[in-house]
Amino acid sequence: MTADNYREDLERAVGRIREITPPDLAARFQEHGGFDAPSFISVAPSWTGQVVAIDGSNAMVVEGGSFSVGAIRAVASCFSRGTRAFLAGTGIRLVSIGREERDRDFADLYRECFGCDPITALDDRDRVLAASIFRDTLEYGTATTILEKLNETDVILLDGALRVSHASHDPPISALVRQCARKGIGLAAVTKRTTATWGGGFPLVRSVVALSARLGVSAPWCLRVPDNLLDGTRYREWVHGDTWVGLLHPRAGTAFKMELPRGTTGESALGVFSTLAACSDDGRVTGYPYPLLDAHRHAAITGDTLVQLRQNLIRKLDQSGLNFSDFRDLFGDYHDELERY
Amino acid sequence: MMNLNDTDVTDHAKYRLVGDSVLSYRFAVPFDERLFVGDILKIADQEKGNTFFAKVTDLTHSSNFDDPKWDTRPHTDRFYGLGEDVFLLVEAIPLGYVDTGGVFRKPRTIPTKFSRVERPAEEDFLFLRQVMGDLEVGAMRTGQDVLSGVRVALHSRVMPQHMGVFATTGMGKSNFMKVFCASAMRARQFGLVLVDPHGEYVAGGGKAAGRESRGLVHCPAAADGLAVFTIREEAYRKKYSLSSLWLEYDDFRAEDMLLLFEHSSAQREVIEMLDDVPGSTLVDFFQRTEFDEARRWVGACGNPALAHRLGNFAPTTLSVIRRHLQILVKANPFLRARGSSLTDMEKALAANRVVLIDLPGMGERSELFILSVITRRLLESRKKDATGWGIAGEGGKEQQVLVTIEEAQRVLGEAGAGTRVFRECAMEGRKFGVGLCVVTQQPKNIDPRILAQLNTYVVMGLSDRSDRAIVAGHAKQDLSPMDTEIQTLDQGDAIISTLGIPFPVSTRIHLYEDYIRSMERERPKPAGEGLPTRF
Repeated sequence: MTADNYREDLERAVGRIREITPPDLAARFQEHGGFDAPSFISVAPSWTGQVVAIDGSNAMVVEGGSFSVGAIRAVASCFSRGTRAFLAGTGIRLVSIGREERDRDFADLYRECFGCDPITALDDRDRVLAASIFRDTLEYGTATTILEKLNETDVILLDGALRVSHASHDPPISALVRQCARKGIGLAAVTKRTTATWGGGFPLVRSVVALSARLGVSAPWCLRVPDNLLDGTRYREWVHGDTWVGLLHPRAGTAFKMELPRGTTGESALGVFSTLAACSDDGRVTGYPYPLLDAHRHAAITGDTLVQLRQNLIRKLDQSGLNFSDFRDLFGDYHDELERY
Repeated sequence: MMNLNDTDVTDHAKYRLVGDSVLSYRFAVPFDERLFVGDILKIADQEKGNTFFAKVTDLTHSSNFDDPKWDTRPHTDRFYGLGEDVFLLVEAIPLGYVDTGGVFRKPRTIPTKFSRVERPAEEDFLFLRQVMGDLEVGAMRTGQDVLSGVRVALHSRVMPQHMGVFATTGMGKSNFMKVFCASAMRARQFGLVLVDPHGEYVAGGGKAAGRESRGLVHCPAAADGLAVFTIREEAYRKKYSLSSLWLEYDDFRAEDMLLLFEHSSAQREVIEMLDDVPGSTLVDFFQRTEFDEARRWVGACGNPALAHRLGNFAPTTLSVIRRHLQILVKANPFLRARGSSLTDMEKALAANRVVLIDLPGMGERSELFILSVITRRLLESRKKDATGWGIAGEGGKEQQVLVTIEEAQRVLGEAGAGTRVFRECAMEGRKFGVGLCVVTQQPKNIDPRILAQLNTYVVMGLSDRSDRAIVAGHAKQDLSPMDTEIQTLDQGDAIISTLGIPFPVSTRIHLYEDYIRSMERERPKPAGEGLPTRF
């Protein structure tokens, strides 16, 4: 590669970025969606009930060419009027991910979470995806369990989207949406980094924020974005939420794409956004619902924890008669050797 | 349905020792804990059975967050669950430990990791009574609090090993000196010389902390322990049973003039030539002699030996010496041809009394002149009588004297011929039982070699960084970790580092007036008290 090649690549990358962020982005988006100032809903922060944020984490404890052991954990953090009401979690669970078309641990975990067998087996061949599906299973199981404790006007807050990435999750998510609606419990999912675009690649959140500035809308606000404005979704049948974009605090640096269950009316949506805005006033992550950060911090499987889990596994393998040489053959990674140099 | 377990958010990391060195401890406390620099904390080592003590030297904000600068970007003033991740990191220095036998030892070992850090109760400090001396000056302070039951007392036996009192104006230096004198009068273990050019020590009278201050004569121990020599009028002397102050010409030597006046090298040579000449001879000679250019005075003067010695000096040089002598005699009304209080002062010192020389309205020269005369006299007489291990007093006990020099940077700064007697005292006075109490606002202006001789440091607040550095660097116990505390000392507070007490002690110096009242209460009542006083 020559320096000229590199300069051309750089020019091309910048050109692409400028293509999706034209100076008239807000105007284009306004014209494309037919939005005006009243399209934005002004939100008054208010604690109408409890907010329970649920987040999960996954990490690989050991990873071999043919077999891996992952760790997963989900946590529910509940806040009421600015104070944590409870913090509960699944504890760390270990799952085995081999090269099977039907993961054996998945069915067990699924039954534990939802009391029934999954409609689709988990294919382990994409191990990264498999690990994330394990984590989502635990998150949805936690949400389903927590739901029993909540009352009308409370809000369940998920990290991500109301969209499943594995067919087996469709029934529990559908049930969660139904039960929330029946009990009058709000449900929302907050996406920290969205891939949503419109018009063939224009970033959605940036466009909405630019439009709010163009129209002089004061935060906090939220905006419902119709599906037909968005670029295509692969499996629409797995999508359970309507798309919203919200800026939850006047001093927030970032707006977020959020999803509320399909068909959530304006009044119900406003109640949910009011509660979310009320808990988005933390000085560290202003504009982001603090309970989600709290759940995230307690769910995260840190490097220290991973080391401990790995040592536990090695000790147990040793007791079962497997020596270190066997362990190295199974889970050794020559990258570790290379990293020494 | 899956089981969710409540997450235990109990914090087990706080109040647990995590420091990694014998010389420095570290632990975390909640972010809203009320802890102060100077607080003394107890570390209970359950594994080894020892109880360690440590003094807080610094408090820093810290957190579990990966970004150490998280707190520079808050967008609101609301922080959820702050105490779970934000905390105070406490740095402390070890003071020592009480072993399983109840003996206090220097911190040559380290507490077991994660030992519990606690706030001690007053009874935890009972061990300190083992190490305190007989010269009470205050109560132990921990952070903002005063442990009134833990008295801080210096050891009189270490006083000849010199003491330094360092404080800027208004920090309570005079109050400390009065408390120290009161304790010295009560203990009667050494003689103490104090020259007061302001007349504030005898009977007080000025305002101290908004109240009428009291003087040394009001101390219950003054009757037996105080001897005052003053230049005040008779009525005042009678009121308080004070003695008149007199020095006679023979008490001083020519070298005293080096301390009081600036001299050229030729003039210094003259003074050095006269080193062995009694003061009365000097006064007589210079008063009677007119130094003419033709040198007729050499043959005409009544002291041919002295005239012969000085004959080669220029008349102008000798005239300057004569003028200085005239000033000396004229400016010090307590100086006369015959009759001196020095012998009485020496007797009082031999009886381990506080000798206060009261010179109200007199200038700096008079103060230094007397100090020079007394210090030289004490040193010379003791050198003469020395057995090599101090001066044997009554009962064979070594007799000790402490000479106080206020604003000591005047005489203990850079080397000069005039300050020889004080430097000599600082360097070798200990051998002869003569110590210096060096009082100064500017320790950086004291000769470091002299600072190194001081074995007791009383530091009462120094705002100048270089002053603090000098003091911390020369104290026998390392005071540098206590820099923040020294900087923030309140009026009347001190850090005392001395021999016999194993660590530097933060002290609230007693208020003199309160102290002598407490002495009054402690004084044994006369046997006849309460009996009918008349028939």
